[in-house]
Amino acid sequence: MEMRHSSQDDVGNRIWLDLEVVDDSNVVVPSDRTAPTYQNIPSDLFKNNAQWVNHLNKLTRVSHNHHEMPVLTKEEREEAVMRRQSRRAYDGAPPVIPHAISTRDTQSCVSCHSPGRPVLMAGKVSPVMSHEYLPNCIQCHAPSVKKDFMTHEAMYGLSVENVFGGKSSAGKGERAFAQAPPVMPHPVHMRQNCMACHGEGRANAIQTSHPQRQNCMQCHAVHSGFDNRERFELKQQ
Amino acid sequence: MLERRDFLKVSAMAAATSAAAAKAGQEHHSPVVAGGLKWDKAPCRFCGTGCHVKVGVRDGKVEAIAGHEGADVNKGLLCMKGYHVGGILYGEDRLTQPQLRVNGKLENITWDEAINIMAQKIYDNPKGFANYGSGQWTVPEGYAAQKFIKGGLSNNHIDPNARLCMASAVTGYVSTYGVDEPAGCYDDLDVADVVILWGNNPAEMHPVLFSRIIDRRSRGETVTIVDIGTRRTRSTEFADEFMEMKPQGDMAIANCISHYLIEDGSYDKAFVEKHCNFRIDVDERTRDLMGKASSFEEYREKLKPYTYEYVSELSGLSVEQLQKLVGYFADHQLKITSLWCMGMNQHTRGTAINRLVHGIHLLSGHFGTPGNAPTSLTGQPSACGTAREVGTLCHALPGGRLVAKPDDRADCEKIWKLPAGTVNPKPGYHTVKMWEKFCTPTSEGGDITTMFVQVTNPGQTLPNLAKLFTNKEALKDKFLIVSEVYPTATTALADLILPAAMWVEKNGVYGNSERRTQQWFKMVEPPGEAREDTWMTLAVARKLYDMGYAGMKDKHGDFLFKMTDEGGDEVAVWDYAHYHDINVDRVLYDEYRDFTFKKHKDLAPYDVLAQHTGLRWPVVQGDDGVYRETKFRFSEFSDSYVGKGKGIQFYHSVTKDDKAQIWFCPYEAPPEVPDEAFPMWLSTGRVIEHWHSGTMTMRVKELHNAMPSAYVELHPDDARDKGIGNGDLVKVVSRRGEMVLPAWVNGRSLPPQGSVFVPFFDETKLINEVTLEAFCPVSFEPDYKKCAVRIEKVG
Repeated sequence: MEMRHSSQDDVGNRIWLDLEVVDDSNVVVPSDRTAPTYQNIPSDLFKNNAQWVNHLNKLTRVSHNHHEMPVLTKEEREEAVMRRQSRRAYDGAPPVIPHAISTRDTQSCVSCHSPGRPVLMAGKVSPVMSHEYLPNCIQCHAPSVKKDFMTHEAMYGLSVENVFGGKSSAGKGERAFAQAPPVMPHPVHMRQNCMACHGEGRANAIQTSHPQRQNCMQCHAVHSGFDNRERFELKQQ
Repeated sequence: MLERRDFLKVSAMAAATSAAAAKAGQEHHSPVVAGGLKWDKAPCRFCGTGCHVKVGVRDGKVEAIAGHEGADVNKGLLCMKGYHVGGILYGEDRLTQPQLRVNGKLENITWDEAINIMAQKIYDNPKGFANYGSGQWTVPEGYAAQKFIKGGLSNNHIDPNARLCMASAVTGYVSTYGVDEPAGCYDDLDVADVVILWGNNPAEMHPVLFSRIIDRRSRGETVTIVDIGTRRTRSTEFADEFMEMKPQGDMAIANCISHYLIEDGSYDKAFVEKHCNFRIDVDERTRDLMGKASSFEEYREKLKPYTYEYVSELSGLSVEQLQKLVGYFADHQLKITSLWCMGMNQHTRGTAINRLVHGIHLLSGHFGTPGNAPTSLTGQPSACGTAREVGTLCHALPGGRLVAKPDDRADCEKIWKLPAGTVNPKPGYHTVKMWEKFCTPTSEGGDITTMFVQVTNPGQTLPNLAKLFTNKEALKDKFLIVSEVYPTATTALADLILPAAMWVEKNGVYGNSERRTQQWFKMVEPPGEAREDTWMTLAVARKLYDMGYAGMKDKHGDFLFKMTDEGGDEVAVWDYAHYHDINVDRVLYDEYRDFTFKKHKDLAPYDVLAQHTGLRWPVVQGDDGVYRETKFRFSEFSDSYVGKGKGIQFYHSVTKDDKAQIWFCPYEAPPEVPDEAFPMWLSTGRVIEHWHSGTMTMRVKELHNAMPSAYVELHPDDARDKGIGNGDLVKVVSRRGEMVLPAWVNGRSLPPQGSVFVPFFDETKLINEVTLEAFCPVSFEPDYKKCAVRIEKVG
């Protein structure tokens, strides 16, 4: 699992961001510079490139102070969950692909959807695969964008409504008491990477308040009520 | 740090311990309740891969699907059809009432009326009755139909839609090994060094199997995929080599490989001497199943013309590519698995090309060890389990038997308790012939007058539809009975429609591509008046019995389908109110199981099967009482029927000497090739989103949205020459018919110049009005991959 920030990034310890802007107008760089000897390195001027100007503290950063996270209204939360469910036939189904794709190959999928490569496009962050790398993405993930398929609209084949009602997600996880870590209200099959849904930039409805902690299952228990594996011993040879 | 897997094990163990105590003494499992749903297992309804799924039910409705992590085939993974298979039950226009067409209009009738009508039609002309069945029939359904028509009516006009997909594979296996079905299994895919695709597209058609191969690369393994095909597909994207082939070139390529294996001396001499004989066609004109014996010298002589230059000309492959193929097979250390499906089977010389690929593997010794296998992949979920093994073909009987053999007929008469001579020795009509006869006026020799279609959609999937299906409309004395779940191109011409239960609305047993038989229990109720196909057969049989039809009584005077409960009392299973008093599936399956031992296709007992995610036959009971499946047939290390010390034994050899047959079959051109009037090749096929004629998948939102309509794919240069852009309407015309479709350029596949591709799933664009019904003379399977068309821009 990636996208972890080190402990150095906690508030109060951002050394490299606290540098002042240096006024370089009166620094003279000797023109006959030679590399310093090892003896002189500690005192030599070369270490700080004085002519560099530092603007890092002007960049927008996502706030790590999650106590400041906006609390969603009930409607906003429902909307985020519905948006997610609309791409899935039922809770646990592989989501359909909500954008145009190259319908022949699958290697291009990982250029945006693998860990460490999330891309911000049109205001949305490409989600990381929640499961381990499987090469044939379009085996399970169906494209959904009719319009990109072909421009001729008049002949759209058979069209019949379907009344299948897929199981919806279970909602919030149970907590033993007010401050307890909630139990996972979903199965973990194909959901090995928690940060795919609970990481930064994901729908606030389910974003974690503590992404810096890496060992999710240390505190968050699996709920055997969602474990649909057969309970008896299959007679294997 | 406690790993997730350990966590899962711990929680499962806790649950298991408490549940196990409750379960002690139960014969079979009960479903698991998790997340508010009741979960039970079943094989997927779709392709011949045979993934096992878990179905989540709440309040009598399927609400979710999961891959079965305990299943060897798919190990918890599915494909987009499998994930959405729950939706197939819920299209709004599901058929729920029996219907009769009166004066052109369909009217609702009762089941009693429907059964009476059907029975009367059969009673009036039993010889003119035909049953068109399916590789999507469950094993008990197919067995009941088989017993009814061949045992009860002494009529052999029963043929499955599998005639249109797997017949050439069957004849290829039988004429090579003496018995049907692959010797290898999916385990070969886990260890093969080279996988050769002979004209198939498993990335879309057997996705889970294909993933099994390419996932090995993520684990650092090297597996070379060679794609020999007539167009670039999704599978090509994963292949190391693409060898673009002219249609029918496969025969030349296969002969070329065999030729050089011999000329270079790199064939496996020891293997050939020990395990192989040679065979050729009886003469230049005859093409039959058995041919005649030949010799190594004659075989070698007949291969002489197939030089690199000649084959390059015929097939379109370069000399280097052909040499590469020879090089693979010449290397005895490499593990090579050949995979094929419709490219080789739907072929006017389908039997021949199947034989040739088997021949290459046998000649080069790439057989009988894990990873070395010529494996035909089955298309339908139970073409193997039902059509091939139960023998629901016009010439076959259950368990690999033939109507032509007196001993085989006697076996059936014995198990079915029928008087000697009941089973008709003359093969009935195969599919194309059956439909041709049905669509021909009775006065002109069209002697099939009543056709019963179950679990298939011939109105969309037969080739040359005008000749084989739509002509029926004008013939008023022909009666079409269709058991279906949705309105289809077939029900459009039906006289009697019977609403059927589907998939998990009934018990069932399927058999997949790797000889694995899989069982499931009913999980939800069928809608309205829909009923099981098996019940329909039993009800009609009973009605005929009541009408006094002699064939419905066995030799003791009992009803042909007499079934008793544990106490020994007969249960009136033909009365739907009592149909579920016993497990009819189990009764039929157990009776059928007796047939399976002769050709060593031993099936496990029903209750053993119910506890597993399928078992590969032959399933043999050891001395410890445990039933064990067989992974690799004919190989001593895996197949308990192989004699000690034999290594590899083809114990059903047609030459009765434990040897397989290597065939020589000459290259023969297809019957229709592009010419001045029709200058392009047309190939038809499928896409991953849709199953066959789309009756189920087009009604599932996610799949329909992914692929809403059919199209014609053509090469960009051909499109440019005709001024055709993406989405433009194009007319595809052949000597038989025409079809207007939107063009898709640079779409999912890339046909070469001079050829187009059209998928057949769209019922508003029946491309089979354009295709040709020419078939292989041995297997009678038509060729959907090659006919001549011209394309015209419309408007």
